[in-house]
Amino acid sequence: MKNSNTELPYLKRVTLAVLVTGTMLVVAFTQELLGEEQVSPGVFDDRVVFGQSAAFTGPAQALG
Amino acid sequence: MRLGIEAAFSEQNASGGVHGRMLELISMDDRYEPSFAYANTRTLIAKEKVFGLIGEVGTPTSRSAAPLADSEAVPFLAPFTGAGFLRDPELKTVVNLRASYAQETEHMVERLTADLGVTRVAVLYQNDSYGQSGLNGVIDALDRHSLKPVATWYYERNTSAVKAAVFHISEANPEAVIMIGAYQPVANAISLLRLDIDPIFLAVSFVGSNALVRELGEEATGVFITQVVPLPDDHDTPVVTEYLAALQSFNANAEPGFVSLEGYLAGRLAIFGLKACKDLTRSCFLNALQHSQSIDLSGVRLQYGPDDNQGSDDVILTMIDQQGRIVRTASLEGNK
Repeated sequence: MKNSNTELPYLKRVTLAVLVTGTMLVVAFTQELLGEEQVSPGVFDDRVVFGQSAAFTGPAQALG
Repeated sequence: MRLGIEAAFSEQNASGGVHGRMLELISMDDRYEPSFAYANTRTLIAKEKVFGLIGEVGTPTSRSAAPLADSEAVPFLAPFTGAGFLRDPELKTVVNLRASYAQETEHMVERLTADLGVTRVAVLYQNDSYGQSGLNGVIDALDRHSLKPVATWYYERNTSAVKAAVFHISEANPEAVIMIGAYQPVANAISLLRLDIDPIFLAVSFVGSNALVRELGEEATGVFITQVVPLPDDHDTPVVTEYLAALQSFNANAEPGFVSLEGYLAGRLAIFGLKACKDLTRSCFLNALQHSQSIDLSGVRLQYGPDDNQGSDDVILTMIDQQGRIVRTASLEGNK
């Protein structure tokens, strides 16, 4: 027969584990969000990338 | 445009890039169609996650792409168009390099009226926001001289279906025809119109000057084109010499021209903004371009202001001579 005195610490441990895991996930997600705000897309340590849309085929391709 | 941008980026990369970063360009083909331009721009922003957009080609295409870039706070740098809507200071991420179509057409009408006393002007235009932008410029400029166009007619984008326009414009027998189109339909229209009438032909810069000369061959002689960048053989402007060297180094077989020179200037403008931001962010980049007192691209001076997102107001009148060269001319008089 289980003793209720031993069940309580078990539940506490599970609850604590869930809380710690959840907190870690929230912290990691927040860091990622903050990181995206601080570094512009297209900017890397060794390069910066621009984009262009233009006509490279068709009747106006000489302008692209 | 791509050739010029890549020549500028390659030149800068050869000297170590900017703050240790190499410059890269991802180009996507939109076939000069707004729906493709929108899809490309969405891909470039959302999937490729580019820092900014540069040298997008055309008015209808930019009309679909620029609002998307602006809504995502993505720099939209030096589009190859002089459309008025891109000069709206409410578009916070748009940085224009070149003069507007309104300025080009105003220059044309000023020269036609002052040099030759022309009063009968017709307009051939592309049936979209590009053509409409140029047409509005001509109508406004003529209105300042209490004139109206004697005929206006259109053709559809990405076609050379100009026969209806040629018929209606010929019937009006104008002294001058201002053409707001791309090189193929404009060349086709000039050839057909010359069968019936002998007006002065003038085209705006977007026509693609070098491509127009190739399309028309000997028939190109005497066609006037307004330009918004220096002539590619203007060695008095240092940036032109730098452009020719960069182009030669990047692609020894490439022919210099107005479009790639504009692309080179776009690339140089981007480099100016990047150099100003060691900790590179889009807001720093835009701030550097929009709030500089003056930007000197080796002889091409750009000036932006709080309500002015257009760097240059320069319009140069050129003419195609008998050797097929595009030469600067101050006046229409004596050149017809």
